[in-house]
Amino acid sequence: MSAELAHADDVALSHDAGHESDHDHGHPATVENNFLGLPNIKLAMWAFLGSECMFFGSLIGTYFFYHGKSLAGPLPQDVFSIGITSISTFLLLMSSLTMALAVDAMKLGNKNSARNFLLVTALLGATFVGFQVYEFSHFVHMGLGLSTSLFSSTFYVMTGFHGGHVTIGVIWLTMLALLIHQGKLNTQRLPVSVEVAGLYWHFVDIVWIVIFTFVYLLEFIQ
Amino acid sequence: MASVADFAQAQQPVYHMERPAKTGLVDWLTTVDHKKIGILYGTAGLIYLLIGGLEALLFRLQLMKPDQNLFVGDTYNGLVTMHATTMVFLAVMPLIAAFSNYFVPLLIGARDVAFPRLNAFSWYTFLFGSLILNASILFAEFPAAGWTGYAPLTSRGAHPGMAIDFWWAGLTLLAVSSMVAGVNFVVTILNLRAPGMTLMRVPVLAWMMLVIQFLLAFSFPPVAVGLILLAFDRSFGTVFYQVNMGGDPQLWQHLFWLFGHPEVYVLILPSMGIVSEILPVFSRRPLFGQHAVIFSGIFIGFVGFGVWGHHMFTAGMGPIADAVFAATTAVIAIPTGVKIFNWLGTLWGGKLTFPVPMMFAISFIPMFTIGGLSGVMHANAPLDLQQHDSYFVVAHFHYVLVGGALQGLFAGLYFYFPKITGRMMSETLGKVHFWLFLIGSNLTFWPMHDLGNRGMPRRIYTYPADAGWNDDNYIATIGVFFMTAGILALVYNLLTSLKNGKVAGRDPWDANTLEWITESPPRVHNFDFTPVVFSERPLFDHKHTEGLEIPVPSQPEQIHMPSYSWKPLWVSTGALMVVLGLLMFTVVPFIWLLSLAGGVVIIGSVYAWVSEPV
Amino acid sequence: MSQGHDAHATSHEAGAVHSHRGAYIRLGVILTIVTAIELALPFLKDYPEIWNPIKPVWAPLLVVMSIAKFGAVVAEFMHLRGDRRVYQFLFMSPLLLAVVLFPAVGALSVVTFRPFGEGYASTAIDVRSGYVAPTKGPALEAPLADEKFVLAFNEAKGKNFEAGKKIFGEKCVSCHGKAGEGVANLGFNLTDNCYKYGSTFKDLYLTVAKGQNGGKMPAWSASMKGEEMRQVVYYIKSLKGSNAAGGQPCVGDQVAD
Repeated sequence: MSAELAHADDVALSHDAGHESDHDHGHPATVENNFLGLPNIKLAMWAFLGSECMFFGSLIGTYFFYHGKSLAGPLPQDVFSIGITSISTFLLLMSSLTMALAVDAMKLGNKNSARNFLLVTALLGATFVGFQVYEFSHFVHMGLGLSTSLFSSTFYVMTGFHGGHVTIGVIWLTMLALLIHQGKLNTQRLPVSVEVAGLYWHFVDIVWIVIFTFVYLLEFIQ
Repeated sequence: MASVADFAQAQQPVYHMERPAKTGLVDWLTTVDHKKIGILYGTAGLIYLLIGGLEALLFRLQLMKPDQNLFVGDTYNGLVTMHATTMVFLAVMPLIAAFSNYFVPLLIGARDVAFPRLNAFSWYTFLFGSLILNASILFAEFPAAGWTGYAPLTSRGAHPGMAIDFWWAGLTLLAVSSMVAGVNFVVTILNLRAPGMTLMRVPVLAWMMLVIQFLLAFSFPPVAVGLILLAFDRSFGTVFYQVNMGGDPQLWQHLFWLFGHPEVYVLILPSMGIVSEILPVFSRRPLFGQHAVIFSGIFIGFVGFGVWGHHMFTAGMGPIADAVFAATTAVIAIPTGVKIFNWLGTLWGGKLTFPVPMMFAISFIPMFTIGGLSGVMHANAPLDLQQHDSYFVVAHFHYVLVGGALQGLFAGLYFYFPKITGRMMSETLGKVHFWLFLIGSNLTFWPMHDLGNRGMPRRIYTYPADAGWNDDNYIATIGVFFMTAGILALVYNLLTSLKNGKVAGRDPWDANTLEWITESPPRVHNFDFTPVVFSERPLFDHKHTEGLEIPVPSQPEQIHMPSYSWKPLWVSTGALMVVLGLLMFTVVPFIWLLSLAGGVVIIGSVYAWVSEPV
Repeated sequence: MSQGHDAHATSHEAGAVHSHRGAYIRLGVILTIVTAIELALPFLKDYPEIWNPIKPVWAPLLVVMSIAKFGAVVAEFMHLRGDRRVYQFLFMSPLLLAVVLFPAVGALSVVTFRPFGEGYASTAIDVRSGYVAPTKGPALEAPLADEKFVLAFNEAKGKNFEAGKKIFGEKCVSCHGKAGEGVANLGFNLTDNCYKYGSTFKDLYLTVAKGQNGGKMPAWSASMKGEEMRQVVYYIKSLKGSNAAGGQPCVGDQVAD
């Protein structure tokens, strides 16, 4: 954009190269009109997470819509084991911390540290998924099949979709760490790339915070 | 005095592209240009409009006289289901997507959308979804559970064949496409506006598009979940909608209408935006109360999330819930009324001219108002108990969707055709289309009010001769012939005008907004230079107000344009493989391997997508 | 929305990047402690002297801690606090929608009866459509012939059905008579082997809870607790076949034992 045009503009314009594009999808072509001075991909991620709120809201809502209406056992109190779930909950919580540390390291330009934190995060996430697989197989062993009751259907689909999101996150973070390692990504846009991956990861964590309290812990209210 | 010709003086920008552009078929397969994707959406939408119209014609023939046997039972149910599904998801939605793709960047002075490749992904996912939705005809069966797909009509017990599987799979892909497009356009409109275009200077059409993108992004997840639960029920034996396992059919209704009602506003708001763009141009006046029009649109969008229960008054939610939903529904009439009075205020005292787009835009107002008023009647829960599932409801939503949404889109088509193709459409043929369609839609849908009041229920394939419904049904079917003739006039007009239409030039209607400063059709980069905006009517001010001209720079701009990409097609293909594997899970052994392969294709092509320079 | 920079965000964009590492780790520790408290609570059940005082506040406490954790991650780890308002709008508005809409949907779910304890709910009232899918799955009655129920019945029997008898004496005698023999045009005989609305525990419970016969038998769920209705059902069940003197004639089906 020519200088006099920029001058005629009465709103904040950012030409911050670090914000001009995204790593997953998109391109830097339209940066001339970056009206809010914000990276497209970060706006998109927040809007997407808004959409995800409605998605998980629907799944958790379905679980409670049918809560206590199962016609056959086993019931939640029969199968839930606070011990195992608490370990995986703790792992996911810690992965949120390492993710935040990865974003922090990337902002400071410390690529190696960021890559390592990303890998630790992915590893913690993978362990969480492993625990979930164990939990599911344990439940099936106790006679809780997918078609057993409303509880089993709603529980497996809800937590399964959460686990699927964690799995996608693990793939994403691993891919990102790999790309950072290879130096394939534009250095200037790396902080935003990591930050956006972090937003997704933290969101998956907060969904679990809700599920853990409302689905698992409150089950022991009686 | 400055004129639109000033913009022809600007120098062409200097391009920077990673890869040289492709030509021919490969170009159309790999394009990330929002205008080409818009044309693809528009073409698909018009084709599906013809298909959906044909389905309506067929079942109206069945209903023309009592006791006929042309299409009965599930054939009739399938025609009705596919008519509604096609019209809502495959005709009106892609036509809206066509307008938002083609014109949102032009309206806000941008070179493309925020994520051009993601936009192409939305298009392919839509295309695959629409094909799958219609694919059950290969197995000689239609999904026949109504477009609302109420449980347990969609269960294996009621629908043992594959039709419902294709139905959920197609709709799931369409939901993914719409959610992605919603996020993409929210970012586009918020972040890619031309310098100076504050939110209150964004044209009303772009504003309405912004509102519906929020609705798409936030209202599709519930129905996506509903469809996923249905898919699990049918393919993996879960019990979400199985009454004998304690399942409650109302769960589907809640999830469906949590999406379904915002969807109604997705269908109507763009037409309201188009009308709000057209009326000022042909009245030679600014839009009366532009801010009121914008804020009422936002209000409709928000409250639209709180009214889903009015589709379920007869489902037995209880008097408290019914009262709450009746109140919220009645409240929505207020912003809608605000808009209608603003349009009337725009016309008042204007120098009116009546080319075809203006005729459609003006007839939109009373037609939509009729549908809107019968809608307010339905807000009254006790009255709704009588009208529910009767032809009165059919009359109501067809006035809104045909007289409102579709007429608004026709208005936009005639208005923007010169910008898209560089040629004008024939006025004579356009008027033939307009009068045939207006007369036809009133002939068809007005008698349905009467049919409903005389107790004719929806979704019945025939009726006895002594029920008192013969004349109204006969007239309604005659109306369909008028509408069909009108649509044929439109198709003929489109095809001939492409070649023989009068050359349009940049600004054939002497209009107000940024899209008209580009060439017709616009070049790949849209604007030769980034326009700067000083008001809500930048082109009008350029032409008529001293000191507010849009400055035309003397130097060429350096710009980066996105290159073509195969990756969106790959990712969409992966998504297609995933749902194909899931929907055939129970009939084809080891078909889950296809889903698995689809997942691998998605991961691989996303990796390629990320590493690809654009 | 467009110009809402605050000092924090501006300092970031100006390039004055500083580390939040310490703050993140502190928050991580706090979140760990909160989670530990949440986990410890169920185990306190074994220590009544600690458990009894906190029992009533336990559920609200868990909810509050969950919301606090949620908020802390969003505000600090996701950095939404102090970030641009457009991000806040994009995330918070649908979050608010979800928080309002889905509890509303849950509340609209058909009133849940839990006559036989957690989980084994009656769903007879959900079978409005009358549609029973011809797929697998146990028949509606099967899980309700449940030993939990029989155990509770035997327990009540051990106490000579005192609780149920008392409530019967207050609420039921006016129509069903002192011994349950029934009153002409008011209440059926409960002491014969005839049942018009079903004889299983579940049927009896539903009849008490929801009412029957066009409201002649009122819906007691409005004024009785689930446990009270259960006790009455046990008592009524015990009356079967006692054939009290002056009983009303048989209405409905003869039910063998």
